[in-house]
Amino acid sequence: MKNVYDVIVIGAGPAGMASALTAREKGSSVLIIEREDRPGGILNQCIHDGFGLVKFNEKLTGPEYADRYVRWIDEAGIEILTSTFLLELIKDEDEFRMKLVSAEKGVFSLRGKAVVVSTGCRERSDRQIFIHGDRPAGIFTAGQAQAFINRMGYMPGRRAVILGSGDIGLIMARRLTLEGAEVEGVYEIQSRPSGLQRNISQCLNDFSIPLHLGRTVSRVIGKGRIEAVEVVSVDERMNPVKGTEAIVPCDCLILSVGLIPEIDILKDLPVVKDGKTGGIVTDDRMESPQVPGLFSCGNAHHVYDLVDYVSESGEIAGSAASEFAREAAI
Amino acid sequence: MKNMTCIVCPKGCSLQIEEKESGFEVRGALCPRGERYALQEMTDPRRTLQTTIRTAIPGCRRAAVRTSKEVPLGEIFSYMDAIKGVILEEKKECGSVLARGLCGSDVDLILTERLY
Repeated sequence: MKNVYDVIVIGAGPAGMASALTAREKGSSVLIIEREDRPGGILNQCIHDGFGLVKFNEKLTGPEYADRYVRWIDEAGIEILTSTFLLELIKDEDEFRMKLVSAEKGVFSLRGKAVVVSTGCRERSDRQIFIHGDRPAGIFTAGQAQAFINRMGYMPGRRAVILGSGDIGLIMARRLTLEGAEVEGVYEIQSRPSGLQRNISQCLNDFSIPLHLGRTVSRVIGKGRIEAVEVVSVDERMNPVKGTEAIVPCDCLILSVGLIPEIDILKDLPVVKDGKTGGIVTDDRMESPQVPGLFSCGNAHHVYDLVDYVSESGEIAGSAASEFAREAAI
Repeated sequence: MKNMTCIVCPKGCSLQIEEKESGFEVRGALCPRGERYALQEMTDPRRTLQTTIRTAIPGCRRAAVRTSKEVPLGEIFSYMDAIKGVILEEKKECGSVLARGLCGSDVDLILTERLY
């Protein structure tokens, strides 16, 4: 491993791997930093299919989509530092400096001419949507539940209520049902579902799981472990309608209430946050106008609904980062 | 007339199917795959099935798998039961066949992840 690279990519998910491949193809020296023990990012737990339809005209599962890119990364000889966490990212004159930590190397530093931020996104949690009541165990975000079931083989519960009709929530409704749990219903505060129609069809309708539109969870009930939720209908202004409350017994509440780009690592750089997307402002080459040489792509830039477009954004960022590094060298 | 959402691709076309004397007539599909899906759905609805299986590999609790082809929607829980009995004993390549002829059909079980 070297100490200085043309392009350092933060995150080995679909955006990061695509940007690294493109930067390498264009002749740059490239390193990928990954905090998990393997590349792939969130694809590793998305075992359902539907990935790659746009890009490869094939219906792949998440891990298969990831495997394809990992293979290309191997063939291109691109280094990935796994189980490595980025602690600090600063820009010092014409180069970026990183402080990192891993069990193997301890705290160490790296320098890069260009940096691609492909750190993905985070799920909104129960604390961010103001659910009242108790704070028992048994409340999960959909992605958490997905990791528990698909990676670790643990069931989050036997009788689930799902709040929010985002795609991961719909996918988890099906997944829980297939694994023998009962999904009481999916509650969506808006008057229309937020996930793709095909997921309403193949995840809910296939298994007769009810979708309650204009209805939300207003209270969590349970000491120690969740025992029930109170659900209520809302009016056009999203205010609860008195008299529509119902108590729904459950042993877990799964939240699929939105995703936010994860860009905390950029706190020491003068980037401008885009209030609408939660990512940073970039030009059409995915570069920050305030921090030349800093590129953002994938769900860290804004939340995409298809991985195929995440990979495409990575290619744009990787190509531009490579050009930036080459010009910086002259 | 029956309405359905095409699940072939993320576009999710709204399909209308009408039974005529000459057969089913499909409207609303932006591509021929949607029409094929609708006809299949009217006569014999099928889905690919993805799940995970147990492994005997240290540090790897579950391995992701899928069926090699679509299985009848009405039999999906029988396939789940059949797949539950399969245990991955050792590391294999992504794409390997782990079991053949699930539920007495010609459907195989495929490993869908790279094992580390």
